[in-house]
Amino acid sequence: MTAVPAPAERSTVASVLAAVSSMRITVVLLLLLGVLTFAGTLAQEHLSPIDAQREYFESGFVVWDTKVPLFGIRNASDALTVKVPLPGGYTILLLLFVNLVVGGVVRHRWTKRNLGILVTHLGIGLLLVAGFVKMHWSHQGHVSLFEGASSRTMVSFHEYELALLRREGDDIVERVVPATALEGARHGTVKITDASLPFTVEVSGWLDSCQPRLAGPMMKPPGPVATDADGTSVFLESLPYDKDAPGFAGCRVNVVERVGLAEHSAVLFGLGSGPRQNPRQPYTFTIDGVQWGLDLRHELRDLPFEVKLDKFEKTDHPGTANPRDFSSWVTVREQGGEPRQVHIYMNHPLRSHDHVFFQASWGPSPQSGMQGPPFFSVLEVANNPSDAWPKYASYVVLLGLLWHFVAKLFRFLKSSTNRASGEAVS
Amino acid sequence: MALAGCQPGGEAQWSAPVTKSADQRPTQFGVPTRSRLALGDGKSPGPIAGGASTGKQFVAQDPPAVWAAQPSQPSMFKDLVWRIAADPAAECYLTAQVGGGVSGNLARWYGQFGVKEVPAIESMPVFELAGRPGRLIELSGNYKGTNPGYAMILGFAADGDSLATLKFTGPEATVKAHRESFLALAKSLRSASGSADPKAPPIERGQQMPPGHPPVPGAEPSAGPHGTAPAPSEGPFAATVPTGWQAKAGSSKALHHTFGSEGEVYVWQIGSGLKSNVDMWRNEMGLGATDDAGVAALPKVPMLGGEAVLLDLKGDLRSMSGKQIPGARMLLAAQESGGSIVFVKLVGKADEVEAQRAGFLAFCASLRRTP
Repeated sequence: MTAVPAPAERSTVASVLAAVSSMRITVVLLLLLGVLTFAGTLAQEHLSPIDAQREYFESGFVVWDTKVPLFGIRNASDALTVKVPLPGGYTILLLLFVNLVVGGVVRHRWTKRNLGILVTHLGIGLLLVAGFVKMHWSHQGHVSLFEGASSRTMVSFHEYELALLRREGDDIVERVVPATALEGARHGTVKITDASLPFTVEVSGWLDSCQPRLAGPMMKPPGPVATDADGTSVFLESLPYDKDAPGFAGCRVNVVERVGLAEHSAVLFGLGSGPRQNPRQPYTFTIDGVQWGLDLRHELRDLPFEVKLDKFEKTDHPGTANPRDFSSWVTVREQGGEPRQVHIYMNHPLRSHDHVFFQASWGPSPQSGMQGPPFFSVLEVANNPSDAWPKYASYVVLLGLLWHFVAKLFRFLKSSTNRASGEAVS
Repeated sequence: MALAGCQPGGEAQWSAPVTKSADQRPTQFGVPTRSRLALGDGKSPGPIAGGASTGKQFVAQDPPAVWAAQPSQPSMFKDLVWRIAADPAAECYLTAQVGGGVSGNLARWYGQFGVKEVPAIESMPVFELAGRPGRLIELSGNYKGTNPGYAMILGFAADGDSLATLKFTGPEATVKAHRESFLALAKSLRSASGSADPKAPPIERGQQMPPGHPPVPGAEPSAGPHGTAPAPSEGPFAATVPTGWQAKAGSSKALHHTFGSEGEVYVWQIGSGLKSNVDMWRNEMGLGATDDAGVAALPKVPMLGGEAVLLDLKGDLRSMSGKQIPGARMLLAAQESGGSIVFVKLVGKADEVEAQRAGFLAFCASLRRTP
């Protein structure tokens, strides 16, 4: 026998559901989303796209720091600074999802008449879920190759990791710590311990954008100086935030031996892992005759297949150095499978094993001070479990709307016919 | 931005150990700090500049007797120190490697005498420090605000962001009285991997020194084969260096030597992709790209216990580091292995390179990795 809620409880539940699913809330959330989009777009004047994305659209809460030019004031520095607190994109979309599901699915009557609306709401809900899954479980990076080179590893664009490396025969044994676990290294020291290792690694002085500098006498470095075993003294100099050139992260590491407490100090600098940064050159220290390496690098993820760049083609607009078109011919080698050739160009990515390869860029760019040929191809790689979900969601929404409007058309036609026949009878 | 708004300190754990093949994780252990941090010459890959030398590589050969050698003070960036017996207040020291760049250090040195306006570097007298071209500064006044009546003579040679300096400070009368002996001391300086006299053979690690010669870092009492220096090692490589090649101090490249008027030769390691690199080297010489058949047809020479392809290119050199030599020739031996390419590159004027061809091939054949 099903327990029937008391009238008071029923009314409380119903009123909560009514409030949560209110159309007014939907409108307010959509308006807030509009304001947030406006603010996040303006913020890209001083933030890089990825930082604006993180700060405005992936956050729970954000303060929109904007300048309002007053009447007669032309100089931006004299404009009135206004701080507007806003819910972040994460919060708004989460509330919108709840509002959508409760209002459009739970509270809606499941009748044949409403089927189109229900399906449409489910499709929009799937779209929001796809975004949620992408944010939490997808990986993005790049594979950059010169012609003839191949790779089985993608390199993250923005995420760093600290890798501990040891050579074992022809292989490399590695352990990693993601940079997100080193958050405390900005203002303190993060200790990385492992009972199976004869040392502890202490990470400190984390800087998001910096450059290593040689220390000099009577200099007052802004951070601690690390002197390597070869006598070179280096410190990290913080660089001002530049949205167009975010720079490379750096930190200081101190390796403390478990026995004897001898210390090995060094500065690590997270240079990119492009085609010119191979092989990687970690900070090397030796304990009990075993050589270890510490490398601050962009996060690496191994691919389930190998990609070899056979040919890269770039054509410029006549008389300019502006590329009109560039594309890559690659060979994909999957384990146990036949190699297959794929041409990657605009809107024609390579898809394999939940990975999508887009033709993103090329190098060396003229800004780097180097000139091609040879050029290398930059293929953006996305590993997103919900990659195809937006497509399915669009189909579902299309189906729902079609059902709804066709049904409505039939109802209209039927009622018109009935009216007409009624009038004829009378 | 990534780590903003965090709690200070904390603990973290390594992930479980995972074994990767050398192809997946091409790694070069034991790389010197300056190379590792791309403190190169500002033109090599990486954002920062530089070349490399260490203070321990400098030595004074037969310095004037007035200079009494003192214990070095590395923590004070004083790699070689001398004093004058007649005036203990005067001191001269060599700093083999200091960062901060030329302009930063000039401002600091002039600031030590209260001078805010630093003259143009072109107006400073030319100076030579251990075979490297540099400039000379002479200042007098109140040194660091607490030593009135002092003077300073300072010679420096820059390599990118890094400088080697020889600094002589003391009471003005003493400094001026010993100006010539300071210059003589500067002339006596040379690096253990180079020479103050560009015509003299380089002092290499393991090289036999004349009887009674002052100790030279790295030198051994054994002679090498006739006409060659016996297999110096630098970083991960060692090779037999032909006569006439001058070791280049302060370079981040391995076994970096110079010859003739503009010629140079060095060993380097880069990422894989032989064809793309061949095209890059051809591009440096103003030549077009080649095809796979062109790469396959390249002659082979022995190197690193195996074979390397040999490029012999003529053209106008315009290297990625900015070096330009019209009418140049490039000899380059490259061996692709383990996900990377080791290459020996020799460039210079075409006629000078021709004279070095046999030595280059012998150098490649003798190249080996150090343990």
